[in-house]
Amino acid sequence: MNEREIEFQKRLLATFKIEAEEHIKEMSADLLKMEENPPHHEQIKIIEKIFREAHSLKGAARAVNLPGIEKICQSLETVFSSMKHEGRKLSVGKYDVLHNAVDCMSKILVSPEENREISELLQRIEGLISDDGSDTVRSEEYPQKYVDESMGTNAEKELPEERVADSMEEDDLIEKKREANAAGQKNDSVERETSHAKMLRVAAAKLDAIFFKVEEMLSLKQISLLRANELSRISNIMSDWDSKWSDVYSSARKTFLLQEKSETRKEGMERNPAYSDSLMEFLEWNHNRIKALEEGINGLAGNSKRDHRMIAGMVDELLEDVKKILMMPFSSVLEGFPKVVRDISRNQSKNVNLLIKGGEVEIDKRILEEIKDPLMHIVRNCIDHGIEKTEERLRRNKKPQGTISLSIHQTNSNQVEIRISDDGAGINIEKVKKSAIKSGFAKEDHINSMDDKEALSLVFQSDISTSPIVTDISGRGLGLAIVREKTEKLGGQAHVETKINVGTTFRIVLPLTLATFRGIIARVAGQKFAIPTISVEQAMRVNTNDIKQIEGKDTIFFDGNSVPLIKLQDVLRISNGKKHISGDRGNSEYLATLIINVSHKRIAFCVDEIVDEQEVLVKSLGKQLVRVRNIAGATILGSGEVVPVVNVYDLIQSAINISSSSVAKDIQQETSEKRRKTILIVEDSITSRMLLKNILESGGYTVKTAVDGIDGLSKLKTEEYDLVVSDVDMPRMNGFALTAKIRGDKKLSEIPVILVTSLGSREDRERGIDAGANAYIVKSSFDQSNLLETVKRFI
Amino acid sequence: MSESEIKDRKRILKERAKILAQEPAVRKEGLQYVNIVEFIVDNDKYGIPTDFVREVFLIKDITKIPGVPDYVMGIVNVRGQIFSVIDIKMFFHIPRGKGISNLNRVIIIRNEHMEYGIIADSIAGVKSVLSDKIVSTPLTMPEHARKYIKGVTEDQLVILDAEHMLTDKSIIVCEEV
Repeated sequence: MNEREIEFQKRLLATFKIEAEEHIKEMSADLLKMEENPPHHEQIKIIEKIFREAHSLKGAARAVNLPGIEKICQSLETVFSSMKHEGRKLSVGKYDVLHNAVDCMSKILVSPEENREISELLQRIEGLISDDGSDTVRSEEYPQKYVDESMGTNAEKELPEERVADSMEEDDLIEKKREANAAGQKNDSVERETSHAKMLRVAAAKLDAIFFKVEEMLSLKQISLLRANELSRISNIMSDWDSKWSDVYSSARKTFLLQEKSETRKEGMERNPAYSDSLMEFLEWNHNRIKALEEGINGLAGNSKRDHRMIAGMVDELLEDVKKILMMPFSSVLEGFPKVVRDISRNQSKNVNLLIKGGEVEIDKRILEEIKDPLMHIVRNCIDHGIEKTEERLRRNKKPQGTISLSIHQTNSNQVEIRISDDGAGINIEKVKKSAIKSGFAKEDHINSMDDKEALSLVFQSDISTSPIVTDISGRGLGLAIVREKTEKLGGQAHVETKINVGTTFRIVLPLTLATFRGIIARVAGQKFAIPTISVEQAMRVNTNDIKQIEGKDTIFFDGNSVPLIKLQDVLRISNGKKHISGDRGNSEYLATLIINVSHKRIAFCVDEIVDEQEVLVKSLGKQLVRVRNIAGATILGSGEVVPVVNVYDLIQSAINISSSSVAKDIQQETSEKRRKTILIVEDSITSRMLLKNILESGGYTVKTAVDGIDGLSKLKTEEYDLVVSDVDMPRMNGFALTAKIRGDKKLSEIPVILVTSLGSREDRERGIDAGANAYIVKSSFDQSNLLETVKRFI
Repeated sequence: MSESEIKDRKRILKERAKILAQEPAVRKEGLQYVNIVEFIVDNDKYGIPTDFVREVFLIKDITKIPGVPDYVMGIVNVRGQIFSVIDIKMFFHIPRGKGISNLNRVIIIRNEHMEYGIIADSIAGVKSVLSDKIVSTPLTMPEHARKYIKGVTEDQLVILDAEHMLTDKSIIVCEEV
């Protein structure tokens, strides 16, 4: 195969994947429908559809040479064909095999190159319609009751018919199949033709690319605004000039006239009138010129303002339109839900029915992608915590089958509401409160004083879970916190209502399209940053006298609550080292402050200056900066300036980390200042000695030196040391002997000894340890951090 | 001329003929050249294969990003796209010299999956280097830097291993709070 062919095969496979995914989705959904045992005529329709899906998929799989999928489809076809032509029915349990088959195909699709053993699966599929004794072998895999049902009723009844079918001539059967296929294909093509006229299939990636380009045009809008503003600033300068000019010009004129008069009167003769005339003429000409310039600039300023309005209108409209193109129905992500619900509830031996309403409602694709997991999480929660086990439900006089309903409806032109409710046990508010107290989220009396609604909203806090056990599905108390974070990021809200024994309803309100991101541009330590407007509760000036110190931390009162106040530059670690905000008064009486409120956590951040509030297009920081602490991305201002966009979730977390660590740090600093640890270096080589001294001093220790073992020992006896770092090879007394001496001395025996040496052999190391050294560092593997770390371990 | 002399001469001529008959060690078509962009950072010369260079441009501004490692100088705007810019000397742990640095040029290097800028004082130009004239990196280079260096030419031009610089995970910044 040459390169082009390989390339072609690749493309073919990619196209096949898209097609196959659709077929598989459809089949899976149809199987679920069949399982619900709909009325007979519906069943026929569904079977017909699945049959066709399997058939088309088979053909396509053959074209791209995926025999695995082809064979599975073939077996499925056989099953469906027998269902279709012979009216065979499958019992509930047998659908598992079909679901398995569909799952297996999607697995093959994900990694087609992998070799899979499918013969057993094929046997099982075909076993569904064979009716000899081999069924008993398969029965091991299913609960007995399912087999009983199928064997007892269906199989026996179908038996004679099956025989008839078998006895029919094979050709006949094939003919029949062919007809069916042809009919199916005909239907297909008719459908396609009609839909062609109104709909166009475009790859999402292409639309995304267009969307990004349209989004880029926002900067065009910003630039045009910037230009318009510049021009009107210049035109203001001109009108300043205009008023000044008319003052001066009229007085100049008068002066000239007076002068002329007085001169003629005095001298009785004209004296150099040409001079003043030409000057006046020039002034006149100059005035006219500048007047013309002024008019030109005024016109330009006006035009550019109009242009800006036009550009802004066009860009906004275009962006709105493209956003609408990128809207997708909820059903596109909800398709998988029934299957997941089925699987989980079976696993937990619960009986759950999922009702989906309003799947046709369309919403911004990006919102849909973000909200899919949170929705799934809530549904899982409903099964896991909400719906009770069947016996439990019966005891409470409920229907044995639990119901989860997921309904979506558009509440107004740009808002959609998703309600997920179950008819399960409800949330025990007392348990929520207990969990909240246990996790230390708030003080006990504060939580106890909450009303039910407030307390219930605690379930959205992380680390709060009512579930006594953590399962792989839920119970860690993290899921609902993520649900809320995601919802808020999208500009929506999440609520919960519950009634014991009746059920729980989660309500998520979302915008239909993602609004263009707006940001507050603020200056922090001289540099501009953008802060998402949506997270800023208020931008305000704080009088430095209103800053109170609570437990050593700066706090302001806002909206009746005390809110911690922290410098944004400290959180971003571009600080200039001043600890308390109240400490650097004097510069100005007021501080520009932004109150940021995220997930009900509120912190006031003060900045140098608030510059502007505008639309911003958040871009990634480039491929090399995958994720940066506190920074979500960057935006480009109209001036071309690049401004980092702050990640408020990180910011709040960092602020909490800083404020809790700063106290601890202060204490640490105090103690270390009280008494610095003293280290004695024993080393005969002057270079090594200086090197070691430098390293240890840079690590914050007081360092004394000795030139050999004897010198070291005498120093140890006269002064107090916390640790000894010694060379091994030294004149007079070597390191081993020194260590042995230290260990032998009552007063010194507790001092840790680190031997630093060029002797790297095992014997030497053992000798060192035998002598009583605490650590042994070989010079060849020596580096600075290594030494400091070792020292830190002992003192 | 004595007989032995003639013998000697014959022997010498034979030897010469043998040497001449040998194929030259380096054949013309065997010559491999690498095209590189030569640039200067802090008075040191570096080269990077042109295959990996997307473009070179002059920057006016670089926006600093808080909370990134020292070697990340910041980000720049190239016709609406944002690129991070790194200082290879910092990344390689090579101490700065005393020379005055302009650091106003950025070379964008890229492969399929990665893309970023390298800051430079000036661009010396594009040149071809014989690949067997690139000798192994001297041991005086810090250990950390040697991984990213293909070798050094006679005139002290350090040839960077662009492929490794683009695929190595340790250059990627990915930090949680």
